[in-house]
Amino acid sequence: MDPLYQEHILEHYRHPHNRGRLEDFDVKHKGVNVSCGDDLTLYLKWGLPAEGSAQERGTVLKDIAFEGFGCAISQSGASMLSDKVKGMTKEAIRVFEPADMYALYGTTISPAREKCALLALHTLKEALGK
Amino acid sequence: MTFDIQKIRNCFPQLKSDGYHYLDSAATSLTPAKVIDAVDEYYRDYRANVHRALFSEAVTATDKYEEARRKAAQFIHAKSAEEIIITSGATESSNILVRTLEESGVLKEGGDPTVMTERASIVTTEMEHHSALVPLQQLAKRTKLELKYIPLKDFGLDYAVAEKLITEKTALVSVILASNVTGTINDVEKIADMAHKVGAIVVVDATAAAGHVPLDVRKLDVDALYFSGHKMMAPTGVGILWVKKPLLEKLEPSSFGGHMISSVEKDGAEWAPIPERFEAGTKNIGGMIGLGAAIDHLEEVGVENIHEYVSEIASYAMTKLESIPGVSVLAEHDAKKNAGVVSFVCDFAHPHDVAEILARDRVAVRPGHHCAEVLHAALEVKATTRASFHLYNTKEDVDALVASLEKARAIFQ
Repeated sequence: MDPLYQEHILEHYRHPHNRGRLEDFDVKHKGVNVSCGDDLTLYLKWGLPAEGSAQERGTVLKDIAFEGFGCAISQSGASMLSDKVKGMTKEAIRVFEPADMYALYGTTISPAREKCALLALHTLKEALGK
Repeated sequence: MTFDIQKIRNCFPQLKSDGYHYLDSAATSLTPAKVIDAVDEYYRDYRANVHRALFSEAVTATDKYEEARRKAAQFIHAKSAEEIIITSGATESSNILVRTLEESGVLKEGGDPTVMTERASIVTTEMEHHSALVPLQQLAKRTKLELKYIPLKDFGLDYAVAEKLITEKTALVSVILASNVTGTINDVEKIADMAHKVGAIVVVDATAAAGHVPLDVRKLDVDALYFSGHKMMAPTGVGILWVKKPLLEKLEPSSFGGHMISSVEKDGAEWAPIPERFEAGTKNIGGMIGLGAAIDHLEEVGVENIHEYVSEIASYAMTKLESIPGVSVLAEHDAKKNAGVVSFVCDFAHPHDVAEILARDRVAVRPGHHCAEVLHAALEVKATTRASFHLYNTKEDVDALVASLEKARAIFQ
């Protein structure tokens, strides 16, 4: 097996989850990997938590979708991350770290590919502020 | 001539390990030992600042530095070394040139003061590198001149459209001699002819061409031309800006400081003669001496011979790459008109993934837009993988590229 392009990464690249756009969204945000020109647009729909206090209303990521052009690393990362964060609270997403992102890949990401691996996470973090 | 490839490869220390396939010369070339030695010698034996000082190291440094300037002049068939401005590279050359053309007011009258029309446009091409293009875009914004693009036709320029775009309203025509993406060697003589008929100034970016295409500014009949040292075997951080003397004498410096003045008093300064008045501050002396040695190396082999040899490798690469299912070559296919650059896209993988797989097999290529986003948009792709060749490459390098690309296809398909 290839050390980087492992089966689950290739599977997410070939058949990405949550790829496309949301018709009904609260936030649309585009991130760019300036080192290669790849881009990623995220669509976020915030919603009510299934349970919990009124203070938490509107703080759960109800739906997410992405579109864009990128390499297998950035595209599979967007697919895996979108699966992971769907249903999470804004607070939980805020503390989601690059290390958590690397854990989704489950393999060593070389420094040259860090920007690819973190494109989706960086774009999502920027979108939180919108 | 017989091209003794083993002898040539032995000149490049970085090629000493087997199984290393350096196909990224369009980003920066490798350095021959002769150039490394020339730079090393300066730093070890006679490091001193150039001009004026009287101790022997300073005299030697000045001699070698000025000798390198003369070599650069001869390398491009300039009339004299006075026309050679030493810069940090093509980007600085392009920025200096654009600023000084603007601030000296010559754009309004064009290159030929006998043709007095209201100049309203700058003409460039879709093929430009960002180092040429972005300064032109900024110039156009500041001066309200309209920036017009000669479009691509296949992998070359559309000269019929160029004829229509270059008019008596054109102040400046800036064209790349060889593309750093498609390798295309443009017919700059033809463009210069169109431009001079209407009295426009002609500027040439020869960065990707230098070392691959013999440079003759008189034959091209242009007004200014620039290139970097590091793509033609010299160290990084040094470059050349050539401006034809009659134009250069009309230009005002745009960068000020030491070395570019003849005298400074409280209420102002007088400029040094050309070309020093355009060379504020201490230049990359070691780098320039290295550039002189690089020119020696290129001329020893002969730029014509390099072009002939590299064309054959590029042609072989294009044939081999196109035999791989899913690979499309985006490069000038007539190898004689290609400066050794072969970019391609694979329908099975993104350029970054291709480059990653290739890197594991020690095949060094470059993915991305290669600082030519407008060109990529015209080619209707976001990014390409680029294999670029120089005098030290072989067909075995191409075979390694192809074998590695087959691996990438197996992984992603």
